[in-house]
Amino acid sequence: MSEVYHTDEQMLKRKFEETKLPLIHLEPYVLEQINKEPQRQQNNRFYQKKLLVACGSVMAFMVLFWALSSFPAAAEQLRKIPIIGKIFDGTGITSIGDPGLIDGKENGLAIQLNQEAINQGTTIKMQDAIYDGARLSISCDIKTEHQVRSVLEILQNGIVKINGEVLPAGKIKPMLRILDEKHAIGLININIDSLQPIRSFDLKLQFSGENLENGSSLTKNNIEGEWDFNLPITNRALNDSQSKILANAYTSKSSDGQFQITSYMLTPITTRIDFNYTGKTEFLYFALQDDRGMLSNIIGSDYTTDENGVTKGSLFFNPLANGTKSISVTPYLYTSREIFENAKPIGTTFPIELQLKDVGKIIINQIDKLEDRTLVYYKIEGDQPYLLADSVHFITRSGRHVYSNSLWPLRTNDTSYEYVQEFPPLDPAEQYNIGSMIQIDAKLLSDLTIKLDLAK
Amino acid sequence: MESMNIEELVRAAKEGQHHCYGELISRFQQHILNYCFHMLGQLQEAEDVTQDVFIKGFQRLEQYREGTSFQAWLYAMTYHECLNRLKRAKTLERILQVFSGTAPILQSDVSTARFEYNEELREALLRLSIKDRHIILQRIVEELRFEEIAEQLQMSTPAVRKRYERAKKQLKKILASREEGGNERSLSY
Repeated sequence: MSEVYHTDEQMLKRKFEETKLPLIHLEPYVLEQINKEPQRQQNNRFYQKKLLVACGSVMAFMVLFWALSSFPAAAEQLRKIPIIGKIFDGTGITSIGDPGLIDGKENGLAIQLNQEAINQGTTIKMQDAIYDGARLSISCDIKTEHQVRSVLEILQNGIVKINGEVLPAGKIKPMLRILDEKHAIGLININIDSLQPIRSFDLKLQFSGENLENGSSLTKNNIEGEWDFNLPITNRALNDSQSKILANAYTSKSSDGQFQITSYMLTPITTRIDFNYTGKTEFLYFALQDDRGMLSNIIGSDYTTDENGVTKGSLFFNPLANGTKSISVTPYLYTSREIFENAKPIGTTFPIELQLKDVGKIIINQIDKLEDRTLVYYKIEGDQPYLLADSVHFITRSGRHVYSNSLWPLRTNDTSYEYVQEFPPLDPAEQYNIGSMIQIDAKLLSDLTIKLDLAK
Repeated sequence: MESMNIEELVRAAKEGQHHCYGELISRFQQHILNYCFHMLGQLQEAEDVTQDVFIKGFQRLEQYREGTSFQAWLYAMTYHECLNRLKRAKTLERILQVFSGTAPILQSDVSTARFEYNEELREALLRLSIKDRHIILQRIVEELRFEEIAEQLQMSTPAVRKRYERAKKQLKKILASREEGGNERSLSY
């Protein structure tokens, strides 16, 4: 460092020098791209799992409480596992591959909307929606002459009105799958915080390019149109849903903190748990286990920590199997920043086993390399399957990681942790490893486990 | 090719000698990746943006003015790519963000490198504005002159100096302080 740098700057520089990232070798791929036809899309990249993350993997849900209605009493039976083809070929409300929404559509809970708005060379179509009191998800199809990512910004800044009343900003969370630079499909999830039970309501959505902040990239693209929708929304799952406000008895304490479940809502497509928590919140997660000992897949969360250090919010899981009588919810933390990755070359021999230290093992049973997608079938063994379920990926020769298209792997068996997950089509000329990467040292805060008897 | 300076490599790349552009990538890719990692806070996002930068860099090579700093030009483009990415990425920390944490320790049959970073620094940087992050990284890590940073951001040099001092002070304060209370946070998967 030159002499003009002060001691504090030298100290900061030393901290930066602690960063030692993996070596990358982009030359082959980049040169391959720039040597191709000029009109070829240069954005020949991996699919948009990251964009889906960026768009907001927060599922938006409605907080409602109403009188008890009995959860459908039925003999124990396996929850219906949607057919794989339907999952990954989904359109409309099923396009993101959320098993709960797919189940809901198959059971007649979806509302057909079929409204579209066209402006500035951009068509936004609202296809169908499901509202179960715990969440409102609307499927959309976007085609534009501009960059579809720019339209995403418009969606995020939309104005939402419920029966004429404007919701605060930030309630819209798009989750889109980008098919190409000008076309995307996916969901618009809307968080409607309301303590009043609403069986049906008029939803108004107003999207405008003029709502954007100054300096937004969109103003350069001149997408300044408006797209308005008036959508009638009905909760068709009301009669099959159950919710309960819990007394203070559902509280647990330990040296790690205090955990309290304040209420829950069970619908045919969502399990929502509302909670308070005091303790460390960095890398805080929750596991939900039913009375068969099976872990339920978490699909989202939404919580905030106030100035007193109390965290309040909601967790959203896949729906419970019919006949579930009790559940247990346990917080867990990652105590280490340490990441562990294990990857092996893909050959013709299966299974491929990936041992992830003491956390567990992933057994890759099959990889289907199709023309338009890649399907990976795997099984998880270990005490902490929730840490491994969504950790599979491919790695190219240059060290780049290829992640899944869908937000969640699809569990193919309700009584074991076997999954199938969809990835982009693989390049036949590329050699891939298949791997799993996890953050190790998860500490299950077992002393804070709360068991809920759902029958009471 | 290793003996060619950057200007020569750029000129050759413009004339169709793409392997010279490959040499430019080789010289800058790790620095750009590091910069993107500190700007975005996530390794996989940083990898994506780094790749985009070099693809777009070739497409826009005609815009580079010989005699000026190619490094500064490249970082200016990277800054805007990061800015666009951050504007789209409103949601904080999905569970997969844990993949951008510290060293992955691999078994011997895997050829992925170990990586490390200073967690406190990463978090502190993410609490600065995007522009301040860029100024800090360019000044302290890349040791660019204030005039070069000013040109990247289309600001005056005195404005950059002033902003730098303020950002540095803020960064030091964040690093020195304990975790603040009253921190609203929404986490999603």
